[in-house]
Parts: sequence; structure tokens; C-alpha cells
Amino acid sequence: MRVLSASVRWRMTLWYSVSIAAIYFLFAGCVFLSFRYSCIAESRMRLSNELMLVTSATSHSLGRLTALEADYSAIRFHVLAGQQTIYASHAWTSAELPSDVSVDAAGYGYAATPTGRHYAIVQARLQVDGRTLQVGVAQDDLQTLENLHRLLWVLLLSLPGILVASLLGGYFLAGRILSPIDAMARKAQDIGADHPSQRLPLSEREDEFNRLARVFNDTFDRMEDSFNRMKRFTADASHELRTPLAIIRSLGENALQRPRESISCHEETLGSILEEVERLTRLLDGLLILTRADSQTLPLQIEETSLSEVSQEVVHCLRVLAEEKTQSLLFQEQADLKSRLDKSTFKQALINLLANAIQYTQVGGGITVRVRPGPGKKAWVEVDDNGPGIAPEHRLKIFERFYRVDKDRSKATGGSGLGLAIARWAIELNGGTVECEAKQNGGSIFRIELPCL
Amino acid sequence: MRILIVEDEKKLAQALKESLEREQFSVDMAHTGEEGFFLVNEHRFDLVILDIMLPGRDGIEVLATLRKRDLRTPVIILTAKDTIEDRVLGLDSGADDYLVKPFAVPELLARMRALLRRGRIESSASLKMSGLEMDVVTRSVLREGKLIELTAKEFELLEYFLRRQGTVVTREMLSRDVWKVSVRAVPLDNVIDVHMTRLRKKIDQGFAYPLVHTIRGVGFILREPGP
Repeated sequence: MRVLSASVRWRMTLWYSVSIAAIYFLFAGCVFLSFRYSCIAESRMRLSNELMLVTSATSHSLGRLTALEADYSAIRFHVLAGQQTIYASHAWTSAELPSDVSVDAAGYGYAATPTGRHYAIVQARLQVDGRTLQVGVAQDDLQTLENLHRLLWVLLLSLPGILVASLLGGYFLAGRILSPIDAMARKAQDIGADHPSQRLPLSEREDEFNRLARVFNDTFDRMEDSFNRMKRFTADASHELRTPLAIIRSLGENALQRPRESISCHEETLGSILEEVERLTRLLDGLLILTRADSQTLPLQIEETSLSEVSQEVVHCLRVLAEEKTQSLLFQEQADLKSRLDKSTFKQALINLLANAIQYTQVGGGITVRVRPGPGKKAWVEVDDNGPGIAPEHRLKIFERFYRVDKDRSKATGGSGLGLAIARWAIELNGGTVECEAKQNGGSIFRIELPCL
Repeated sequence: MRILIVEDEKKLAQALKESLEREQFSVDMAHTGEEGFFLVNEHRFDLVILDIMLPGRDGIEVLATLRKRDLRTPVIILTAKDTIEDRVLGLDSGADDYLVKPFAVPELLARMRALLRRGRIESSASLKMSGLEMDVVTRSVLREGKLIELTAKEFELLEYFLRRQGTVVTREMLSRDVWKVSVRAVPLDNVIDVHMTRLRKKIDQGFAYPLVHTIRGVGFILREPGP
């Protein structure tokens, strides 16, 4: 039973055999019944022919019966008047047939004799000269019975053969059907472990196996994607963490080799070291926020909040940064929308988005923060800038940790590379989404979408 | 004032001891939980700085012992773990404050001062410092008799500094106390720097000596020129 339940091939074989056997039984039954029917019909036809001869002779005269017997000595017949036998052919009497046989409405019946033979009988009544005569004709039925028996045996004896053949055939067919799956499994095992960029081969035919392979390939695509992202993240993270460490180390080594008297030089060194430590701390904090985001253990204070109010607070807070770059920073409120959210994480997100916009928009540029109703029961908070814009290939990735559009420029701006990742995390925590859209005449719109009250 | 530092990382303990001694505290050190346990049982301290992850007896146990003796000694917990559960565990065990490593020493000093003066109300309406005067009620600021116009944020900032004259204020403290943003990963540093630059321009430019000083890599300090 374990083997049967363990292997699909065996189960398929079994099912195959069972259905073949069932079909065979049905077929054999039909053959047997139709053969039997035709045997009976044939024997009755013969009987009724003989009966016709006997009755026509009887109705003519009893003397005709003797002549009939002389012509057809094989016909077993008798004629009764009531209980009394008027005439019985020699064949009839030698067969030791009983005179009283039960017959059906059409006059047909069967009789077994003490000699062990089996006869089919037909009876008919007729009026001759005012007397009611009963005519009976019998035929040996043994041949028919034997034929039927032989057929039955042939049918039954061929069953084991059919079963064995169906088991073999089923096993073979199941193997053929399953072999692509086996091949697929082996290939998939290879892909998962060592060759993440390989895919299952697709055939020309759009059959079930092709669909299965396609589903597998989709999964592999996603796996490879997240695998690559993970790899890139690890590489980026170690790079970002190592840089400040390397700076600290070289600053310390240089300071030790410098002459003792230059105290102001040492102060400079220590200040730089502390700045790098600050950078490291900030980076770690950001990473911790994001990793903890995965396990979702942050207690939130979800409450009804006016989006305009919070957004205005953020705009107010960051206004000085825009002023420093002589950028115009506008706040537009198209509707006073309320949403249920945790104010502090939402603010964190918007601060990150707006700081990002201010950072990457050129001196003298313009930034607008807009609160407006979105489609459905959604609220949009947009940060709209006329900066350089973001190329389409970067637009989806900028929300990933440490993703940088321009490696060289980012170093100069000094961001941690986590700002937008944290923004997305904070918005998703509040049940919203954030996306980046390009404007036709340059610049981009970062749009937060939140369910609206 | 007698302070106990229980910290197994000897370099950090030594650095803390030196910083505190410079601020005129007398400092005892314990490097293991056992040692800390023994010291809090034997002596009386005005404040205990306690690392939670210690070899042997951990910080929470030392804290529990201290509280069992019903001593109301303020305790500041230091830890590298900053999940909410850890925070709650520490505060539930009877700690008064909580600092996550790495922290800035000025931050620790500020928290210590806050705990040590707890109960005393210190909110005079007028703040003064070598020629600089601030009236919190009328919201006016004068330096050497000259009226200085400040924005609301700049006023808040200056008040924060005047209440902490002579002590270093970190950007983290400003972000948390003046801007009310407590997450360190939020990029408010630039905002703080812009405000500080403007504030310095207004109160220091055109006067004989500056009052606001930058301490690189640490933060800012409001102090009179040294000798």
C-alpha cells in the first residue's frame, strides 16, 4: 500500500487496469447476452417450423402423422387429447420426455430428462373435429447450452490476460506521461541550487506540461530577482558600512604618526572620526528600522489625521532647506482629507520624500507638496518637483535599499541611500503605497496614496 | 555626587568615567554583574549607569536587587538592544531612563542632569548669559541692549541652549526636543544646521565674541569665551 500511495506511476497503472477491467466486463456481458439471445431465437425458429409441420398434419388427419414421421424421423413430437396421448413419434418416446411441461404464454418451455439431456419444447393447441388437441415438439438443446458455456469460459479465461496486459500497458503509459515531470524536477533541482539564471525548456505545444514549466519559470524569475536584490543589498550594505570604518581607521593611523604638537590637527581628526561614527550610527538605525519592518513589531498609534495638517508641518519643517537653495516650496491643499494613520511614521515618510526632492532639485527650482483626492476613496499626497527627473529604468528601483541612480553624485550629497526605502516602508505600514511618476517637461512626482476617510 | 558605572566593555567604561569626572562627579566602576551587584548592596549612589548585557548576572538582575532594597536611586540603562520589548522590560524593572548604544556623551550628561534635578522646577521666565537676555513671556531677545529679531524656531532653539548653558547639545537632542522627531534615521541634520547658521548670524555677528560654538562631530555649545 505504501508503494501504491507513494508512486503516482503505480496509482495511474492501477486506475488504468481497473478501468480496462470494467470496460472488459461490460463488453463481455454484452457479447454473452447477445449470443445467448440469438441462440434462443434460432432454436425457437427451428421449433416453430417443425411445429407448423406437425400441426398441419394433425389438422389434416392422424394418418398424416405417420407419414410425417416416416419423412422426418428426427422430429420429436406428440399429440395429446386431454391427458391421453393420441400419437407420439418414436423420437419423442425414446427421449423419455415428460408429457407435462410448463411453458410460457408463447408456448415455449424447457425440459430435462432422466437421461441427462436438455430439450427445448414448444406446445400448441388446436381444434380438430370438435376435439381440443395439444401438439408438442421438442428439440435437443444441449448444443446451444454447450456453445453458451464455451463462450462464457473463453470470456472468463481471457480476463487474466487482459488484466496483465492492461497493467503492463498502464505502467508503460504512466511512465511516458510522467517522464517529462521527472525531467522537469531534475532540471528544477539544478536551477534552484547552482544555476539560478537557467530556465526549464519550453516546448512548441501549449500543453499542461508547458504550462507547468511556465509556472515554474515564473517562480524562478521571482526567486532569482529577490536573490539578486539580496546579493546587491549585502554588497551595498557592506560597502556603506566599510567606507566610514575605513575613513575612521585611516584618520586614526595618520593622527598617530603626526607630530605631537599640532593639537588643532588632532581636533580636526577627532571631529572627522566622530562625524563618521555619526554616519555609521544613522546607517545602522535606518537598517534596523527596515529589518524590523519585516517582522512588524512596531507599535503604531493609528488615529484619524488631517493629511493637510501633517503635510503642512513637514513643509514648514523643511522650508529652510529649500530657502537655502533658493527653491520655491509651495503647499497646495485641494481638499481637506483625513486618513487613519500613525502620524509619526507618516511624517517620517514625507520628510524623506521632500528632503529627497529638495536635495536633487537644482538651485532655484520649484517643489510643490499637494494634498488632493485620488480615484476611488483614496487620498493623494504628492511631492512634485521640476528637478532633473528620474530615468524609467531607475524609477522602480529607487525605493530599494541603497539603490543609487548616480554613484558619484550621491557621495557628494551624503545621503544614506535608505531615505526612500524608509519612506516606502513607513507608507506601507500605514496601509498606503508610494510611487514615482515622471513629468513630461522634466521633474518627477512622488505620490503617496492612502485610504481616505 | 557619586555615580556607579556597571559596564563590561572596559574601554567604554573608562571613557565614561573620564567624561563624568570632568563634570565633577565621583565615579565607581564595575565590570561584571557580580561586581555591580556587590557594589549596589554595599554602597549608596546618587545615580547608576547600567549596561544590560553583562557577563554573569545581567543588568536587569542588578536593577531588581537595587529596587528590592527600595532605593530610589535613579538608574539609566545602556544597551545595544533597542526593540520596544527591551525598552519596556528595562523600564518595567525600575529603570528611569534608557540609552541605546552608540550614544553621545553629552546626551548621557543631559539625561543625568535631568534625573538628578528631578522634582525641582526650573523654568524662569527670563534667561541670561553674558550680555544675552531672553524674556520667555514677551518673547524678546537682547544682546548688549540690541534687540534681536528671531523666528519662532530660532527662539525655541536659543531657549533650549540658554537652559543648557555650558553643556554640549547634540543634533539628536535638538531633533528630539525641538523638532519632536525621535527617529535617528530621519534626515533633519541639514534642517538643524541651517537653523543654527541663521541663529548664529543673528546673535553673534557684529559682536565682540561668539557665544555659539560648533564642536565637530558632536554638536553645539553655548558658552562664554574661555580664559
